[in-house]
Amino acid sequence: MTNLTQQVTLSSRIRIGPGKHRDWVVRVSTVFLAIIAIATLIAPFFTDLARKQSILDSLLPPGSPGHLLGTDELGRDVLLLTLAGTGSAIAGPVVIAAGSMLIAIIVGTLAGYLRGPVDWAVGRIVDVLLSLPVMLVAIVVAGIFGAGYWVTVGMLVLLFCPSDIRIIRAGVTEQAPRPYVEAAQMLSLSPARIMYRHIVPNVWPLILTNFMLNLAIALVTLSSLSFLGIGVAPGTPDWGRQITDGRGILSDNPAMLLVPAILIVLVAMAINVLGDYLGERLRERGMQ
Amino acid sequence: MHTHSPHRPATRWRLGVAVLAAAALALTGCAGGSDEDPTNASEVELVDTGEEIEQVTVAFPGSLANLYIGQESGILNYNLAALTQEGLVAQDSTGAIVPALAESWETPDDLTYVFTLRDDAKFQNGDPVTADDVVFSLEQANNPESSPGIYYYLMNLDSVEKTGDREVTITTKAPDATFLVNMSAAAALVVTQQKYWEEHGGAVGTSDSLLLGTGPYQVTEFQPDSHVTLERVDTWWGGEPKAQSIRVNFIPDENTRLAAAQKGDLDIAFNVPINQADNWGKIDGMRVESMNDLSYVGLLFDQNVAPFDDIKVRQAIAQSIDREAITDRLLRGYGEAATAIMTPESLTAAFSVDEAREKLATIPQHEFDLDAAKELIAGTAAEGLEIELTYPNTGPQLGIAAQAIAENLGEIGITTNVREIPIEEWLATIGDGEHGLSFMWYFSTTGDPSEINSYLIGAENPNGFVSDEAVALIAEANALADPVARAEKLLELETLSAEQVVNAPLWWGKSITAFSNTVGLTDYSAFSFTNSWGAQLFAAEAK
Amino acid sequence: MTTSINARAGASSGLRLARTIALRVGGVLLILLVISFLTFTLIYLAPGDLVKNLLGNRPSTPAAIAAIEAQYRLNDPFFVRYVDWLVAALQGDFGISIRLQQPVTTVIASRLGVTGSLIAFSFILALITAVPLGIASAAKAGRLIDRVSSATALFGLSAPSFALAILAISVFAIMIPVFPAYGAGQGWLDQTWHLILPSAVLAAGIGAILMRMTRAAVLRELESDAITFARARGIPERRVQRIALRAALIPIVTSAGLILTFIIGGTIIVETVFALPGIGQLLEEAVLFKDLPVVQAITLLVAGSIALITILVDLSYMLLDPRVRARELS
Repeated sequence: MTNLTQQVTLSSRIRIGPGKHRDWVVRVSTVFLAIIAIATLIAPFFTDLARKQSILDSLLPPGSPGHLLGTDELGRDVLLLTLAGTGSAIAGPVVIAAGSMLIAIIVGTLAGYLRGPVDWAVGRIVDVLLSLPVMLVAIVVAGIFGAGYWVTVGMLVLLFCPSDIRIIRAGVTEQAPRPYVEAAQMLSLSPARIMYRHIVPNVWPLILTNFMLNLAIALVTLSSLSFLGIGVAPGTPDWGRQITDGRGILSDNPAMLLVPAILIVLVAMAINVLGDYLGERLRERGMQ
Repeated sequence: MHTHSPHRPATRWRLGVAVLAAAALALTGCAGGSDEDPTNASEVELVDTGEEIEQVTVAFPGSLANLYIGQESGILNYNLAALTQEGLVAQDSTGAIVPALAESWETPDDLTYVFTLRDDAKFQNGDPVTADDVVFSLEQANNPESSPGIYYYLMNLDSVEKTGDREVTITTKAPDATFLVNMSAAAALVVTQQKYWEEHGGAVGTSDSLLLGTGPYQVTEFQPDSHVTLERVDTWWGGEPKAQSIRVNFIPDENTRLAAAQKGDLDIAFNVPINQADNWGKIDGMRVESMNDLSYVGLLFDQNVAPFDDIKVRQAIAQSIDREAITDRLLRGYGEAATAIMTPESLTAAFSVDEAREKLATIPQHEFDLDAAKELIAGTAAEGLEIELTYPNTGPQLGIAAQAIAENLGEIGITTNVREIPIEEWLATIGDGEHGLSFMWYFSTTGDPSEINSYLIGAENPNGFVSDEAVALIAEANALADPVARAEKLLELETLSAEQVVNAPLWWGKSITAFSNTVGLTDYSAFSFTNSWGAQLFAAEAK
Repeated sequence: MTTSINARAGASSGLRLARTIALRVGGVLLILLVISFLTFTLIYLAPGDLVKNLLGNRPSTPAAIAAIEAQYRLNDPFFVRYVDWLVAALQGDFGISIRLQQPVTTVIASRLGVTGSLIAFSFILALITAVPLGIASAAKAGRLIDRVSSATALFGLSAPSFALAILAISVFAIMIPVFPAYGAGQGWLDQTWHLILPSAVLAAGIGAILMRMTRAAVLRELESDAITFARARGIPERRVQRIALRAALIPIVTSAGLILTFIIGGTIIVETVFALPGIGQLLEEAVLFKDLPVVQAITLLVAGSIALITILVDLSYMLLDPRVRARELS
């Protein structure tokens, strides 16, 4: 799925056309994401509370006194679980998008600027990584290192970065013949300095829009892996886990599944809206 | 989604509706869901219309990979094979051994069984069943290469030979009261034709070779991950069954299965998940029946892993578990708090189920008492211990229980990390010398009282428990022909296990099966689905 | 297009084309070799134990375990096992599935139909909805049709496919019982009918991406200097749009190709929810069972198809864009 990011990124660079309607959507998305960001920051303080079992209060429906969204099979409060779960729902995708982008910036710039054998080697490794079935890698990695949340996140960094490398490499290749690079070369600046101080800032719009897109895709992917049973340990507050556990108790407490599922879709949509908007603004600025 | 697997114990959850195993076993008959659980108010009275059924559609919660139980021996494999293949003997609805392909047998001494074959026994291709075919089938079952899944049942087999046109003589190495049941399709013997086996080079049970047996239904099509179709035959010695064909669909996703039932696509659904039982019960025209399914769930302590070699640690853990809360609240009554490894139903040859339950309750119990547990654990190496408790992905109810157990163990100072892993991976963790605490989840197909406890307490058990006394007790028990004397010996064995805290029993499972009100199953019991259940289907009408 | 190239140049560029293709195919074979080794290693390292998978959860004797280990040659050294597999595979023998006890080629052939149809249907479905919608949105950027289809695409992009699958079954199989809830069906027509819902679910996500890409590509062309120039020259708007569309075709084809590679790897969830006997489910079960021959063959099949599609896309690029053709073949 990751090699799609390249194309989608290109698409997000295209102006969508201004309009009151869109400004409104962007504003709502920003506010929504800000709330989610705050929830992410305070989430860790609720983890212990959310994990607290109370078997006698199990499977209360939404709207029960003291439990606005009801409870799960072990009597844990769904509202608290969802709040505490924001942490892992958001932190993982951020790490995935940032980590994969960081690797891509380092490796992709090297390949795109130096060309030659480095480029060739990077290109082949990327080819191999792109043709490995995600499922196989996911199951094996989960097996060897234990099916932990951060293991899954680490694996996704690795699976996301090949396409990012391609994108950055393409961007850098495009920048390399430009006059400012030649000027820097004539000043005998070190290649590292040229690459990371001069070229990288110029592909920044590419990086940012791609980061936003990866963020949304990572959020959806993590929940899909959770559906396949790969992800956080049972009992940990996490949206993906909640959806998995919530499927069984759909008739007892639909909130367990629906609330995190809707949140995932909304957050992903908001990120995409904001990503489109940012990409467009950066592009406009670039054109000026 | 791996609800099936090649392994008998944990192939899937088979839990069932609350209470009253006794009532369930004592025969629900055509009445169907006469369960007494109030949450399961599908009190439907069925009438046999006597008509034929064109097709019965069955949903399995996971796919089979191979139809031959020797190659893949999950409980669902047994359920399917029971439609099409038979052993020399079978079990009736109480678990008692009854003739199948053998019309009779004699035991001239403790070690010898002489079976006389039916003269009307035929394979589904019309060929008569010969003594040679029986000998051949048993030899294949006894070979770990061709039958890795079932050879273990025949460890006590000494010799098998044809001693007459319709006579097969089998000898065992040691006297064994459990041996006879191994000659059934619920354990190790599914008779097939030697010619057929050899034509396919031994690769039977695949989608190309299918199966040849002697039962009332013949497999006509098999597509792994999709379906199996079976057609009734006129070669079965027991007559022609009512249902012309049976189609088994593999539907791994539980919500999809429910959707299929709500659409009216299904006549029978195996292994309805506990937390969906209510939804299934609410489907118009369907009823949900539960049955103690002879399965056992417990905790296993690997004594080769410190500090689980310390009996105080084991006892403290056993006392931290609230079995009643788990069965009542988490399993919603679809399970019974286990006082021992062997189930009350497995002792029906000796006692009534209620008597058996009383007898099992006399075994020393480690009652839930967190304070006592804390005292026990103080000063042991387990203080501040951090352990991992894994459960198979096919058993969500084990996962829920694991979290409740982890919470209690946290109280006594043992940090427990619960982890869900694929069933295949879980199998490899049993007795691997790394996991000191793990789940044991075992389905007994034969219902023999010594099947599970001899595995968990006897020689080479996965607990790392070494006891000559236990081995001797099992040997003595199995040499006893009298069911009561044998049961007493096995109670001694269970007492030994409890005193040494070798295992911590959690619950005996129940299976929930959903039926359309247009079909009924005569003499429905815990043993139905491992015996010729296809022949017991009848067209029904709800009254 | 060929009319502009004279015969000699055609012949030599044909040669160059052949060389380019040969190089690419050679590269693919090399990648497949590396992947086969990687997969082998991963399965080797993966947790679980084939012998236990075969024996099940019950006691066993050391002799029996030894017999099974010898049967599947589990005690041979790692490299010996890999080389054995490789030599056999190069001769076209992919071995026998341990789990299914059937030749791997038979097993895969029996699954290819369902997965192939699923991929084809969802790809076509995505293509015939997303591309026209994308073009219409670009042509009427900012108007109602654009806003509605962009919002729909945004949703398609943001919704996990398992959630869509469950939603689709509840709505179109139960609430409005039009489609079957599960299974692959029998016979050509029935099979097609069964595959509509799963294909639609699969098509939703990729269609969303394709729509966004198409819209972006057309929009970019409409804003390009060439189109501004064409408009300035007074060429009728209809023709202008046709020119823009032709130029936008290249990125659309590229993205369509990329999307095709994406669906190839993405059928597992849909196959599981809709109980379809396809390659995805087969692969997952084989990985868990450590059924190495099946995993190897499927991995290579998937990787090979992805690589092949990438090559075809690149070639179509050459066919569609004279600039690329000139660069690649000189």
